[in-house]
Amino acid sequence: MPLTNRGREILSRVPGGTLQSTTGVGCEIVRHEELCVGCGTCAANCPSGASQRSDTFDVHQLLDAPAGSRRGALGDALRRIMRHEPDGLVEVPARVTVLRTISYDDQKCLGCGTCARGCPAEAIEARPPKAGAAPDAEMST
Amino acid sequence: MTAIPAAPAAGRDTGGDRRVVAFCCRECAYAAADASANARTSLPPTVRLVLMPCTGRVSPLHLLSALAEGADGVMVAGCLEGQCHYREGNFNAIDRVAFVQRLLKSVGVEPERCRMFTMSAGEPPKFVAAVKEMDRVIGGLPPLERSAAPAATQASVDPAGGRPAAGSPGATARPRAAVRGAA
Repeated sequence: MPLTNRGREILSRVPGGTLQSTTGVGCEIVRHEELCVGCGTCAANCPSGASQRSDTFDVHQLLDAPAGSRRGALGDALRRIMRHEPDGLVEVPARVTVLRTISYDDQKCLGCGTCARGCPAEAIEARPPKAGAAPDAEMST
Repeated sequence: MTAIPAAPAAGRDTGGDRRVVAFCCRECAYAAADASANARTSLPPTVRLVLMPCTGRVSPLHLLSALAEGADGVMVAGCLEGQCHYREGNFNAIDRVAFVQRLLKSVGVEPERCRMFTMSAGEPPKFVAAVKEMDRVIGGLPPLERSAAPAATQASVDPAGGRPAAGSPGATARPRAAVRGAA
């Protein structure tokens, strides 16, 4: 698997270069927050700690969730009684585990796509780097 | 969910139009309510009791749906801290109530509309006092205005595990194997 420019740029940030032979490094991770169910599988699987459960919750995730989902039902109820758009993030108490926003750190991400493979809600997409970022000839073997 | 009926007209104060829904733990608060009824103590006519096996069963969706469907306030009444019959259900409820309060606050609704009370089964007066306190607080708040229910709410609950149906808004086809193609 040839490394793309993005993959090479990511590997330059990894200490020790232990991931030289890793395939698939350099994918572009696109998170669809409105589909996220907050299960934390991506955070548990992430090898680099880029995805983590945060201590806050973005209320827009409830309002944007698809109809018919659990978060969508919460969002429908909230939308009926709300007086203005939600302001900012909500602090989450310790025992509320699922209603949390997953924080994603682009700088730590290797682009390996493990989160996308494991996501039960299919809320994460790992896009192969664009053809424009293709490797040059000498690095492609 | 059907709308919560208005308080029945009685000879004395009916509490106006306001309604308070009380989610009560079977082991303590509901038993306390039972005992207070046996002692012929009257509760405010605004309150509706909902029997729960444990307050740990109360989810944010219960609380928010009750508010959206017509309740002006919701209260959760559970066991004393450390005395939950299922070990720590009431601690879960305390945190969920705190979370719902913050949700309400962030969208401009008074957080006092949702409250947690704890009591033991042997304290009917404490239960009555909690209900009266809740009723008094809700009575002092401006009415909660609700927008119409979205038409799709009832029809769109799909039995296949809550995943959005293919045609529903927000569900777009997304290539799951994109990463495998890259590897």
